[in-house]
Amino acid sequence: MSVIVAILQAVLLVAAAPLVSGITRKIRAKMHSRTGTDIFQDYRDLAKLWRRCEVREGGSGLVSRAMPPVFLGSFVLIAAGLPLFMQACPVPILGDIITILYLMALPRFMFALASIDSAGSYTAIGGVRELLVGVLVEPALVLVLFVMAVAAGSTNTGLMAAATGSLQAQPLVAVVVAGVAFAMACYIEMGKLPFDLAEAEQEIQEGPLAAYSGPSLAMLKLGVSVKQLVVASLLVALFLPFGAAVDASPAAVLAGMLAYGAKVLVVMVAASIIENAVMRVRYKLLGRYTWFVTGIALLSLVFLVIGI
Amino acid sequence: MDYSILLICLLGCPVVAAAAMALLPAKATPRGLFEAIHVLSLAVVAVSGLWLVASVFAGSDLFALGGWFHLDGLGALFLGLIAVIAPATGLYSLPYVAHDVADGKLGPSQVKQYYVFFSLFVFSMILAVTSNNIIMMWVSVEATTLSTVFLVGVYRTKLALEAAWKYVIVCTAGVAFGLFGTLLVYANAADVMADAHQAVFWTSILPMAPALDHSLTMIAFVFAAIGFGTKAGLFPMHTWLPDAHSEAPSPVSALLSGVLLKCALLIVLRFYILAAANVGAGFPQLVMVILGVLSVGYAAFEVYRQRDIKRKLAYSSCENVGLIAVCFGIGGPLGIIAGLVHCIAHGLTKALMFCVAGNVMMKYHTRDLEKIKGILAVAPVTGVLFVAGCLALAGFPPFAMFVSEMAMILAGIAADALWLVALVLVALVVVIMALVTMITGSALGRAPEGMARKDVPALALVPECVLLALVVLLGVALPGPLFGSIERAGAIVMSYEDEYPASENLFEGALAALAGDEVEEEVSE
Amino acid sequence: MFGYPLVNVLGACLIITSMLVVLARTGRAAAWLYSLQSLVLVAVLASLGAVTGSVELFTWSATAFATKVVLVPAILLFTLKKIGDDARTDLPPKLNPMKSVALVAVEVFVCFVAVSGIDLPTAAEVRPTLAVSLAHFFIGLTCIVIQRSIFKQIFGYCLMENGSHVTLALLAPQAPELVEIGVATDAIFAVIILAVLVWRMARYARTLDADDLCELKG
Repeated sequence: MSVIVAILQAVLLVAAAPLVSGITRKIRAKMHSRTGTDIFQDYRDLAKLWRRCEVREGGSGLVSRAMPPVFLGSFVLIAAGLPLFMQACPVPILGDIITILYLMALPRFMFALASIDSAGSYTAIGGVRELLVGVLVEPALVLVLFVMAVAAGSTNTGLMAAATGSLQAQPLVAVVVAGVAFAMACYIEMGKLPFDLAEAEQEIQEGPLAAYSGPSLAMLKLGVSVKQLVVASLLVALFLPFGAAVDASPAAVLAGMLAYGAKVLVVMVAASIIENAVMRVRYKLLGRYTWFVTGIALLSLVFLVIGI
Repeated sequence: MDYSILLICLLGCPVVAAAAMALLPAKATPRGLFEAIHVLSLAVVAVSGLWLVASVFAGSDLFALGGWFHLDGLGALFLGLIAVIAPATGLYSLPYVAHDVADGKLGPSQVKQYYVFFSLFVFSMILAVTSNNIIMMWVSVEATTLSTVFLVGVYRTKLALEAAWKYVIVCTAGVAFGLFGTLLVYANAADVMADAHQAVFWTSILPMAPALDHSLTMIAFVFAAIGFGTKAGLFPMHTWLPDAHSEAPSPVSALLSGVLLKCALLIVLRFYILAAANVGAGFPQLVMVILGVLSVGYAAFEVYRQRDIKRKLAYSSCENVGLIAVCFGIGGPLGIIAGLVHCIAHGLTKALMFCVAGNVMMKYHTRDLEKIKGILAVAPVTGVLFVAGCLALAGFPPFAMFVSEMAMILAGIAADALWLVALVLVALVVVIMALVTMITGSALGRAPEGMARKDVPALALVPECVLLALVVLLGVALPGPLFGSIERAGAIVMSYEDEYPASENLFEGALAALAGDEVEEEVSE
Repeated sequence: MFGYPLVNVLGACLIITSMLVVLARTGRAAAWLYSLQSLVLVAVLASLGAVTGSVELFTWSATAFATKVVLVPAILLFTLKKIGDDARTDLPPKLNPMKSVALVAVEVFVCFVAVSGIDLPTAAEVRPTLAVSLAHFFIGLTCIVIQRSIFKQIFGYCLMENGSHVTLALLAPQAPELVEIGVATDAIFAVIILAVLVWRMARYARTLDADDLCELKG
């Protein structure tokens, strides 16, 4: 049963990612006072890209070829393991926070490596910036996940979700502050404005994505959308597990699916509204914001230690 | 005569005077009226203060208002200091303020502000010295800071305001540490004592002191030493002192340096007594020695370095407060008595010097020592007072500070702390160099061109002469009753040690013991 | 959730609100946030009074409401109005406020470690809140040190006073009321005097920048 749920989660997330990114594009268009494209346009874009043939750069090697599938695959695996529909992990080993952290680090590493592999200079800049974001945001993520692990008594995200959902997570204020820090860290991790340093259209024109074409580009675009959806799902799963299924009955799982859909939609809409209201932060000043988020995560750790 | 009524009178008079002056309109009232109220209230303070001090020395301790106020031999000593120096500097304020008004530096509203806050300042100091409630002790030290802010910043210049701001921020932040120490002692005592409501009175805590928790008392003493030491001017919390004492008007500087620093030291001393009764004298003495030696060392070199006369005197205050801390740190009857005598001696000497510096400023209109030359030629009486004051401050006989410094050296030898004595002597030599340079550079030498050979008004000279006479009296022939009362105060400080009951012959006994040790050493060789 | 856990939760809210005061960009925002922070403080005092059964604490929370929540912010906002040109009070702090959050967290932790060493029966259950009040004092000190505008340094002082008052309430709940009134009045007078000093500085020295106030050195 749980394996079915896991596969269902993975497939659903991959299928829904272009829809969600389409909705985001629509919101941006509306906020920019234009009509914008259809919300299903991303599906058509992906289909078109898939039919095109692939052109590779002369100097690129195995890493560039392997990166898009690895990128997409890692996030699909995370999606399969998260406690989205139920307050328990469908595949426990994939839902452990250490696995999640490494599965999030792997695509980032490959992304950066591939960007250096290509011959273009702008791609390298984009990859390095992506690494910078990763280095600065990960401490906050790790701290928050550690706090939640101690509060719930286990590193399994399903148990954490169950603890938060039944309001058993102690100490209370530490969890709340950790939630706030995690929300901010996830927003930065999603790579939305003002933190879209890797793409940086005005400066480096799509960054590392510029080196790809055809099916690889399709996988990468899909991968980026899935990443945003997965990060939002992580936030929802850990800190907003209300409505997810407590037991494994099909009706409860269905209800959990609907609840999850609604929650994630709200989160993504909120994120896109914020995204369109701000300007990109200069990458030199990124440290300030991440210090702020890390500070709040540190505060939640201190509250945990004190026992408030 | 019910002395508690006298105590209430002593406390209430400055407050009433301040309130009365505050109600008068600033511009419409002639300055003479403010001066009259000011002098009257200070006269009452002097008379009632000295009467109370005499009665405590002759008789026994005083309690008032249900134990909230308490005057013992130790507090009486400091109250006497207030009762003598406050009227002297208050009297000196009259010509000084008049001169500043004539110069245009002070307007009518500032004159009113000056006299109102002067009275409030005197009130807060009396409160600090006579308070028995440990939390009210802290409140009164805060009150001294708050009442002096507008005295330090009475001139509307950027430098004066900057000094006032630094003063208030550093002192309130530092004294808040003192509050933590006080609270720790209170909470500790409330746990141990049967009646928790009594735990707020110092006289009630003292007998129970050995029963308090040791580590808590040590932490509390360190906090109190740092906190109230900020107000006393110990290194490294002294940063506000040179600025505040140099930018304030001279009579206020005299009162701040001469009396306020000692009141803060009294509060540190009260915590010292509690701590020594609890963990033994070793730990509190160590803390005092560390703070004292650092202050003496740092301030001595700064005294030499300064070019501004009032900053020089302010750093000299830091150094002397450090010396007092070292005396208490050496401990033993000789050390405590040396510390107490130094409190009185330095208070009088520093008040004298600041008033004389005020005279110099009235004549020369600058504080820069490079520009002040030939005081003896220009203003003879002021010049003589200046030379005498510098020599007194340097610790030459026949002035009072010689006595206390000698006693300190004897105490150091008796306690076998010879390295400490050596360090202190080096610092004292540096200070002597600085002060002698001040004499040769400023008092002697040729007067600047075009300066009138006319001394300051007589009223500006009388308080200094009185103070100088007292300094000489203390240095040459310390009056018997006064010395007896110092011994008694010393016995109070040492009351934790059973071998020193409150007897009269503390000093003699200690000197005899010192001489006896030496004779024994000679005999054994 | 009542009793001591409530006191501890309110203590955590104290830290969060005081951090907001330190991070506030404009003087007005800082004044309103300080009012909010004092409200949390009043709640802490009231809940402590309910838990220890001390009537003095209830009266104190009432006076604290009148003085800290209403009077002090009113005085500061009035001073701000009298100074007039708001921009001069809104200088950016020396340490980036974003980094000060991490500093605050470290301070709270250090204070907790320090408090763990204190062994007092009255303070056993409220140990987290005692750590919080001690940390409050240091947060106020941090605010004074990092702020460039002396107007905002007043808030640092007020935060320090708040910390001292909570410590007083925690360690000495049976202290006579006169003492608590004395401490509270002292705080009010201090704020008034600081505000007048800031106003005079703005009018006569025409600067509120702490970096400008370094002429007296050594």
